[in-house]
Amino acid sequence: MGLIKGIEISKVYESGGERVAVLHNISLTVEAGDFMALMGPSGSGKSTLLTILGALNPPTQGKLLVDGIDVYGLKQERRADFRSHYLGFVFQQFHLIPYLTAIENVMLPLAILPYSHQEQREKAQAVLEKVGLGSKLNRLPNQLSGGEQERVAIARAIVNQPPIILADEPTGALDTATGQEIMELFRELNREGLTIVMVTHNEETLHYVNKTVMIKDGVIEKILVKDDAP
Amino acid sequence: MRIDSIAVKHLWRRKTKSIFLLLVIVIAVSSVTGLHTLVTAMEERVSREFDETGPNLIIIPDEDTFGFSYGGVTIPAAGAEPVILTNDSILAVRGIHDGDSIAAVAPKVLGQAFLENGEPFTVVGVDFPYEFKLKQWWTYQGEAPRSKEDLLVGSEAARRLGWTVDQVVIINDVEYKVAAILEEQGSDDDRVVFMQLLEAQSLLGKEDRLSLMEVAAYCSTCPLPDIARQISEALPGTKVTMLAETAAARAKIVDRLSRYALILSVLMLVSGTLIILLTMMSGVNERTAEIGIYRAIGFRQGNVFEILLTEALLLGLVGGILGYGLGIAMADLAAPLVAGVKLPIGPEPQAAFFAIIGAALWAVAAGIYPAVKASRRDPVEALRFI
Repeated sequence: MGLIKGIEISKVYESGGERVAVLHNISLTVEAGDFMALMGPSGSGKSTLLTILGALNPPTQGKLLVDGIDVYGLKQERRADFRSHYLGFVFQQFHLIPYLTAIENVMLPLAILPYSHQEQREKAQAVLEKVGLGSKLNRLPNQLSGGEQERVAIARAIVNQPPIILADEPTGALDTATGQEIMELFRELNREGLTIVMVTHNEETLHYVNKTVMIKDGVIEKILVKDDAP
Repeated sequence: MRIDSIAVKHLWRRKTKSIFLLLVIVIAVSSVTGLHTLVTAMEERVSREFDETGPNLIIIPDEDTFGFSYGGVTIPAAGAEPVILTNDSILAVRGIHDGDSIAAVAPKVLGQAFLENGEPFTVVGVDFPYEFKLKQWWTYQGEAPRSKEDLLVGSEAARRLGWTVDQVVIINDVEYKVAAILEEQGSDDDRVVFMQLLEAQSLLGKEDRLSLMEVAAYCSTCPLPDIARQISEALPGTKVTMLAETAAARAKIVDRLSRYALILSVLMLVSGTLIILLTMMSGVNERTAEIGIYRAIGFRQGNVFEILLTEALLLGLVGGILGYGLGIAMADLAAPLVAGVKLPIGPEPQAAFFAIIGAALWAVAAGIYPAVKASRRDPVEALRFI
């Protein structure tokens, strides 16, 4: 059945009167519990595909079903609600709000949900402790290292317990050792049942995933499936 | 954390920008409030002159020497005035052809008296019943003067001399009682000591002499210039000034000031709106990625709009409170410079309410466009995915 089902997705951008086709008829299924890597050279369309899977970027053609919901059939504000309940995003540049502390950044997705301040705080503190930042709750992003900022971003992505995490080059801005720590954290979250789709350039990260989708020139070149990810 | 607390945290932790925007609002609100308060106070003073005194005439000996100033008219210095106005002049005024149109004649003698310690002060001898009839707006603390030893003291004079109600004071070895102290009038009355006319004439050594007479005439039944002419004929050597002209001249100045204030207020508000709009627009551009994050994690367009408008609302409210306070203080300081007299200016709850709510609505209105732009920003572009 598949938790995420992309059906014949195409994306064309118009720029200065010119049409640029970024994705061509891509069909892709992500099963619940998958840890999937989208891999390909720059300009292959992998990040565009991620934004389409993330309900942020309507495809020019095709359909996206998540948990049976026709995501782009939803009105814009309902799509925001969908993101709030189903998705957690982790960005390459962390994208934390610079004037909010670590715990406030993590509380952010809960600000639009019916939780009391106390409940928000407890949930945010619990996930920050889970990612190993229990002692740095009140630090501003510029008082944290790159790896710590990434952990805050991961905590923010999982705080409202979405079934899916979408990550864009999560190790792209980190050194090798910190990148490995982050990948370990993703693996742990995946083992707890989270479905993860990750865009990556880094072949070392493929070690952690069970599916790798190779994209080139806007089409899926091949899909590698490991029966048993380490 | 709620949407509004995100706005509060942004304002608090981005102090420089918040203070800059706050300053813009404070300057605009204080200018508008200050000008409006000043013009309103001056308009009130002018309209009181028109409404309560009616068309007044003032009669003085025709003499150029400078001495005391009272009611916008200069009275020749003590000792220098010729004996032209006497107690009989009152009857002469009443006896003119249009005498029936005269509502009240309030004679006055002016002069300088000294306390035991040599401190000088201006004494105005008046016929209290007529004086009160003429100045119906007078309010005071204490009892209206009844006997010849009773004094009515202007607020500023009382402050300067350190006199209080019921205090017994000695002037030229005679005991007088401060029967009442006038509330602040914003006029020359604040600076003088009123006493019974005959007593003042005796104290000042000006028996049977008058410095001036104020006349209230019913203008609807007569042309005022006619009455002025008739009085001049009945009292040769006097100068009859129509106070209505003075008031009209002042009204013209106030009118001009009010138009100037309006233009300045509009300019301040327009330029303030542009500054807020541009600052918020640049803020929105700086916060592009932030807006993208909000949208990616499930914030609706309305939530982003709410964050930015809450910031504008908070700045407007705080700016309104500070601006109103500053505006009143500026009006109070500027009044003596602009109006030439100290006007009774102070905070008024209703005006404060309108100023603060007005400032908040203004800031929100100026913030709507940037907020709409921000909320409609494409999250994918905002996150620079492409």
